[in-house]
Amino acid sequence: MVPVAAPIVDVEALATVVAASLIAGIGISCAFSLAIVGASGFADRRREGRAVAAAASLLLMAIALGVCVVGIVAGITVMTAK
Amino acid sequence: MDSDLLLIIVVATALAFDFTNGFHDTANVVATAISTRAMSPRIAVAFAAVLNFVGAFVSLEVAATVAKGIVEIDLITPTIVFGGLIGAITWNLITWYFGLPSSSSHALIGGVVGAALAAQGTAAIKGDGLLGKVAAPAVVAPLLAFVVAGASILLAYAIVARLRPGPVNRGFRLGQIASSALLAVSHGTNDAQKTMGIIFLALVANGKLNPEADVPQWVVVSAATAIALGTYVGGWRIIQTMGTRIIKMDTAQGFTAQGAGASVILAASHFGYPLSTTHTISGAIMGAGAAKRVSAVRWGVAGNIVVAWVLTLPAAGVIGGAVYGVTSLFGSDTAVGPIVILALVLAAIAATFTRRARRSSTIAVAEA
Repeated sequence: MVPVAAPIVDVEALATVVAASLIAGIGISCAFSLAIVGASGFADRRREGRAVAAAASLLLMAIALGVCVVGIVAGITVMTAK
Repeated sequence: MDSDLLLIIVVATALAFDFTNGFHDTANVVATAISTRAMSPRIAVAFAAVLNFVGAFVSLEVAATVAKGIVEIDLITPTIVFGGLIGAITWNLITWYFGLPSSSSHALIGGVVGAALAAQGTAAIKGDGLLGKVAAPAVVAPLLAFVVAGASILLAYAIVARLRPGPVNRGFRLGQIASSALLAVSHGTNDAQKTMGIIFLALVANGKLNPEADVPQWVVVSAATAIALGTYVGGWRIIQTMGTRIIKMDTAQGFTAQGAGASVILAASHFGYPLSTTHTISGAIMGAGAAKRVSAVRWGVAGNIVVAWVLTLPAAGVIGGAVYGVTSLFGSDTAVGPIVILALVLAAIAATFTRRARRSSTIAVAEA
């Protein structure tokens, strides 16, 4: 059964907005939180002289920040490309 | 000649609306960053102004919706556009005076729809566009921002749960610089385009543009400049409501609220939905607050904001219709009516500011 609102409301477009907002909003918040965990871990491990653990934390921070940057740049690129 | 003068008045009024939009909405963009002390007020406002300008160049989908998706472009005259703009400006100033963060976007759409209804009846309104492109997203956006911000803050708290508060606060405070930037860009993208759409509508109504033409570059640049200047001048009165009266926020909440607001506005702008940035960021702020503790949100203040939202479309519509009615008494294609209305509006604004200045000085004397 087709919903009555379907011809008026572009349900597909609205659903895409919902999905994109959830993925971008929650994804970037989680990635940035992980970057903070990485940065904090790096500072602590380096102070403790644990080079390998510090490098792992640094890697976590770099990857998480990379995810944030890529997500933002991809979002803006998709918008400007239309 | 007279129609050209009328067009100049309408374009200048549209840019004045754009200025008041930036002025009125500064709080939406900067309040969270200021209240968590991620940025000083002066820097936050300047930062937002520059990025609002940049954001105006990102997309033109919302401008197309405002110009062609809500009213029948063939039935619109410059006088109707003028009535709608004055309706929106008047409602923006009323809500600004009372410190209510209502929606400039809905005021604009309500004003234009009200003026078009008064002039041409229901034939001038695209009901499908109004429902599908304005009403449905207007309901979805704040709820979506609420959910995104709520889920984001819960996950963020879980991820950083084992860390000391110092590094977490410093980290999210830095993050808020980026999330403020994104929010300012998204605000410029969605809101400046509404003015571009209105100016486009006026240019088509005046016969200067074909309805199928692209939005001229001078329209994009002037709308971007007006909203950026309005943002820079700022609406300090509303910042207080948005930043501290809805909830007291920590830096993580500020970051997630801004990120949620920006993601919803940018995604909606891509599909040409003329959202209210005020609704969206308020929803995000409440989501970030309620997820931590439901009682942290001052629901009474939130309720007042909801009342302002509900009133905006009809109130701006009534004012827009009334302005069209008065303007048309002087003739439908003459600049006399708009000049008279502008003179009355400017006199009312001057009287309001004078009265307020007198009241402030009386209070200062009494306190001394």
